[in-house]
Amino acid sequence: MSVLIHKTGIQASIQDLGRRGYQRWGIPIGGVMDEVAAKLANLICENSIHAPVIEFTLQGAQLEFTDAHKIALTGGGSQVIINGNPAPMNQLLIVEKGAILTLQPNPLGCRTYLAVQGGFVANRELDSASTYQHAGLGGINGKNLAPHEVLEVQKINTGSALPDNAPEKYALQAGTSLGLIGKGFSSEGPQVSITNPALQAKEVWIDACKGPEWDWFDEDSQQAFFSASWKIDAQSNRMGYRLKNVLLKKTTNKELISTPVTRGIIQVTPDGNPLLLMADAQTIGGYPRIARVCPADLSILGQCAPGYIVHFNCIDELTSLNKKSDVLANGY
Amino acid sequence: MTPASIYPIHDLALTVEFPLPVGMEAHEKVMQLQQLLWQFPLKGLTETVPAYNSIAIYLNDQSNWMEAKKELEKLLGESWSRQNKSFAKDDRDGNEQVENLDQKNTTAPVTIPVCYDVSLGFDQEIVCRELKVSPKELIQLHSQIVYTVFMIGFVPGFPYMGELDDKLVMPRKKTPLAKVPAGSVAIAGKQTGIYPFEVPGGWQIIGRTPLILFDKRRDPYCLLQPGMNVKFEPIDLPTFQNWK
Repeated sequence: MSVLIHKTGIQASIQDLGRRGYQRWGIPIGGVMDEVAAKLANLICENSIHAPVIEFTLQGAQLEFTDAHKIALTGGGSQVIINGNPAPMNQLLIVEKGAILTLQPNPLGCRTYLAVQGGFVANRELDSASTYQHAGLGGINGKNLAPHEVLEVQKINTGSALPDNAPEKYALQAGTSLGLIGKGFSSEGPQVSITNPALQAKEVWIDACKGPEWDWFDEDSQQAFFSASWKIDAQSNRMGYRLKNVLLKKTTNKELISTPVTRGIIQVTPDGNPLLLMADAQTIGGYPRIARVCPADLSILGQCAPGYIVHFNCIDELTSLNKKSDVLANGY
Repeated sequence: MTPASIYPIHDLALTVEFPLPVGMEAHEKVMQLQQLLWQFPLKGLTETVPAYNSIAIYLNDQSNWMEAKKELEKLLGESWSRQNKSFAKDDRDGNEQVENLDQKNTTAPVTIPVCYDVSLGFDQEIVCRELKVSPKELIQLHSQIVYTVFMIGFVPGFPYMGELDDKLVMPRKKTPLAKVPAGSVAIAGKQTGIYPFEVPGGWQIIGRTPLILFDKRRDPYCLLQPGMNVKFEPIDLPTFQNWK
């Protein structure tokens, strides 16, 4: 079975759960921006959670399935239409041969994930199929998807489903079974009930700890950081989100000696604006770090589009550690 | 040895930072600690990312940053935890174990052929004028030193190497060049570097190497790694053009 890309929409790329072990060479972990939704899509298709998926940013994509196949769509930022009919997210779908899938606009969310049973065939390079364009890694040619490309699907091995005692499997709750029959697809099994605050409103509250250079900032800036309504600027992408509201000021002229950084860290650039590092952020940074987002909340941020308002809620280190990051097991 | 500070950058990652300026001393401490971490090995260790005077330690979910910090402090001795209750950096004598591991960087240098022809070293004219050196002096001063790779970052494979001769120290360009050709050899501050890919860049470009710094089809992927020594070898334009 193949998937033909007619249109990619704003951006589409093959991603998995990231590339670990190569940051010392300047290669970021990368991978999906909303880990919860991506894992769910694979689980519904009975794939390994590590199977490559397509991550779509917002609307506009159009694909064609050359054969009947089982698929799942999760996340947000789009409304799924198959052969003209709305299709449910978070549920196993069986598409008909020749079915056309389009992603229409949706005011809430930012990234939609498509998993196919068996997983997409992609270049597994440096231990991951995640696309990282700067180094031409992963995907099907080291680049984001382009119109007219054809994606192959792995042949399904019977017995590749998760073992019965896998914690992720227990997390799939029996929800409402829609049994929606429409032209182009049918659905099977329960629709998983999952909540991501970013899929319910365009304003979110995110837990964050003070960062290593928290003390470099004056009291007003410290207070502002944890009270302002930060707007995600249009200049935001997989590398990071630019946040706008007040300008943050240092109490010192000290310059930070370039040091490792990772997803979730919030730097303050020389112009005084916070920069929230995301999946494809550089591995080394020289800007002071005022805070770091609790990793359990990164999937919320993955569904925040430009224009969203973000509030940061100060938590201590222990609270961050205790907040479970596998929300499929615990919910939000 | 002045003690370091240890702090989290993620629930599953922490950084050890030495209160030292950029230079060989900081680099050696970072490299010693990196080796110690892998030899021990630290529980849950997945990767280490060295930088100028700090090193990040990434963990899997078998551990977390607090557990790793406790292990690290035990590994490096009691004196660390006493001195590091806050992030205050003081000058009391630090840990002896790390000191005894003092290993000079003795790896044989990797040779990087570089063509300093003005057609490839776009910024040479400005650099020579600013630094008041002749092109010949620039080439000699740049190529006669054995550099050490302090870290790789900014883009995959980009090596930050030190230390440049004092006569060659000058700041980055005010306006970065939109597309720096792959292989460009450049200088900024006390470091020299090589652009592995065509990317925007603000370092002063003085030459170009025909070597490919990052190749996903090659073993090793990255030609240069932190801790390696590097020597630039001047080659002429025809040699550069006919390389490989």
